[in-house]
Amino acid sequence: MSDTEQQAGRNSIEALGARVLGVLRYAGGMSLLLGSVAGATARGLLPGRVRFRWSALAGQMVRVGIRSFPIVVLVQLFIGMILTLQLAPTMSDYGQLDKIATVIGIGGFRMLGPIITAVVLSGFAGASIAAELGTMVVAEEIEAMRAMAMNPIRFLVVPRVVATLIVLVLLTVVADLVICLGGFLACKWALGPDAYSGFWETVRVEVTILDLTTGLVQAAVFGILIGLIACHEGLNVRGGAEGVGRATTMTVVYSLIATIVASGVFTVGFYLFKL
Amino acid sequence: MTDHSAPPKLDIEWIGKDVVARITGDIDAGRSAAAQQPLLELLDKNPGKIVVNFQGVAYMDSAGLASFVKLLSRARKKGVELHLVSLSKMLMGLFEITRLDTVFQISDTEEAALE
Amino acid sequence: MIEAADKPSPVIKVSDLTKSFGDTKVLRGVDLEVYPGETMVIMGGSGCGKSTLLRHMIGSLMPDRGSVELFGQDICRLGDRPLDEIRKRFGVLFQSGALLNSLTVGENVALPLKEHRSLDSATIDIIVRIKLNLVSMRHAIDRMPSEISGGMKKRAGLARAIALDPEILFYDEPSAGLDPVTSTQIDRLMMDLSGKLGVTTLVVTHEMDSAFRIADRMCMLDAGVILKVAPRQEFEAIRDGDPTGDETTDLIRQFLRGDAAGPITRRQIGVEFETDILRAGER
Repeated sequence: MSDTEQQAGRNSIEALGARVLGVLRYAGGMSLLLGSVAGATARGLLPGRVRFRWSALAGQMVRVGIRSFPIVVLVQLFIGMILTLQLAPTMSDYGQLDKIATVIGIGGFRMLGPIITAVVLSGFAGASIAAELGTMVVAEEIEAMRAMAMNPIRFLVVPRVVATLIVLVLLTVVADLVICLGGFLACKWALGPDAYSGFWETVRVEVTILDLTTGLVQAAVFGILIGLIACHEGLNVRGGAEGVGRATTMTVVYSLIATIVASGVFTVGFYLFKL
Repeated sequence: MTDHSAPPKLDIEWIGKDVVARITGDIDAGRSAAAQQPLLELLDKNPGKIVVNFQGVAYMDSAGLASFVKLLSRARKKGVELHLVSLSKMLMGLFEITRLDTVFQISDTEEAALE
Repeated sequence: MIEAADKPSPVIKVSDLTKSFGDTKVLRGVDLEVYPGETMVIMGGSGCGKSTLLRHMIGSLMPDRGSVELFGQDICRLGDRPLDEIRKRFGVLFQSGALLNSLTVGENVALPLKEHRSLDSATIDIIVRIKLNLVSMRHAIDRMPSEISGGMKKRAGLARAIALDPEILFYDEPSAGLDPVTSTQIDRLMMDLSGKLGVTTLVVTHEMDSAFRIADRMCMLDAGVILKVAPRQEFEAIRDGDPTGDETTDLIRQFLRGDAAGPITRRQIGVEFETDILRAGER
């Protein structure tokens, strides 16, 4: 191997190492943030001097939830319709058109409800949280809060992470139902009585409480991840308005990656434990 | 530094229809209420004047100041005159820079205030 | 304490403070003491490290080496909670005012009172009005920060900084971006707070008019090193005197006078330009 080749090899190994280190450092930073958020939340909920800021939480839930609600409904309605129509020909070939409600119900509750809602929320809530906190960093507001002995984790991060969690879980329940509604409407308009008669009864019978809860557990974790990533990116903004723009973009990218990885992990776990 | 745990002491003396209240101790956020309550109660006895003597007060913070603003608004409403006397240099400075020296009636001595 | 007999112990004591960002050494062993009730002005050109020094003193940055003591406690080695207790005893006026944009001017000033004092809302309201009146901002109590000018934000920021009756006040460029009248008003208030209430004051600035108006002592910082700490009068003498031939003194003199020519200028362009331009020609 020539010197330059060796050099190039070393450089690419170094680059890979740096990448890995970067990912580890990011995960480390997120874990630390998660730790302080959990600590601050626990301290706030326990009786004592440091009270939980319910009004801040309510404000954030309205902000995160209200804006995302119509978009979640719209997207999930279409997901339900599209999935139904895409599946219909194959199902029909096998003469299983009456099973379409089962497929839509279980697919919606277990996977599409939580994941697609998380995607919508990372674009809406995640990006706006990152932009908001990033702007506060740039305007010295965060530093000023620290100098006033006010902990930004408690005042800003906790309400946002908890709000994202709660809103994502609630929106997922809505999404689950809307996906089924989409499926029902598609059946009604395009597929005929074979598909739609008894649709809701099938959903009620076939979709178990376990399908709902596994979906909601995922939604809760996605919510925490999106909230944490958005706050982490926002609070670590460097270099003015440009940094804020970068933080919002990266929030969406990292949230999507985190959501899909977490969903994969969950699915493997659910599969192994037959949940 | 003065003892920061003791609440300020209030010594009340009626002179005819007027009342003189002499405060001893610091008046700050934690302790302004202790000094405040007896003064507010004095208002209910409809005195002609309330004279507050600050001779024994070395330090007062904004919360203390605010408690006297509160007392003044109640007194005005009841038609009771409120006089502040014997303010230390630091206290006078506090009233001056907050421009509250123009809001309160401030005198050097009890005698001057009671006239 | 024995040494306290002739000199009170310092409220702020910076020792051997050293800080680098990446490869750039911003502070190279800074020592500084500020005594109760005095006004210390730290001067220096852009990038001399004066803002970084201030950020260490308020606990926003941690040094690579050295310490910052406030009220006799090393804030670089304190846990979060004891540090917060210290923070309640000082106020900071940030360059932009650093108001929280989601709250009104009045709510901003009330914020530290609500968080750190158990006071009823009427008392808080009175205190807020008193503090806003101090900076002539009472009329803006219900305005949002986005609706007011930069100078007004700064004044509101000062009202918030003094909300808890701090024992130390830190000012980051208090006159930057203010019109001359407002700037003089702020200077007057700073002097009143230190003169009448005994607030220890530390100001970082490059506005020389304001610096000479308010300072008891001054400190010249250059390239992360303190060149000189002395009473204001000594700096006035340097400013008004003739060049001495001593590099350091002449550098301070040029800075104080704002002269176009002098050691600072020589250092900025100096001989480097010749080597630089000729090297470019070789390629």
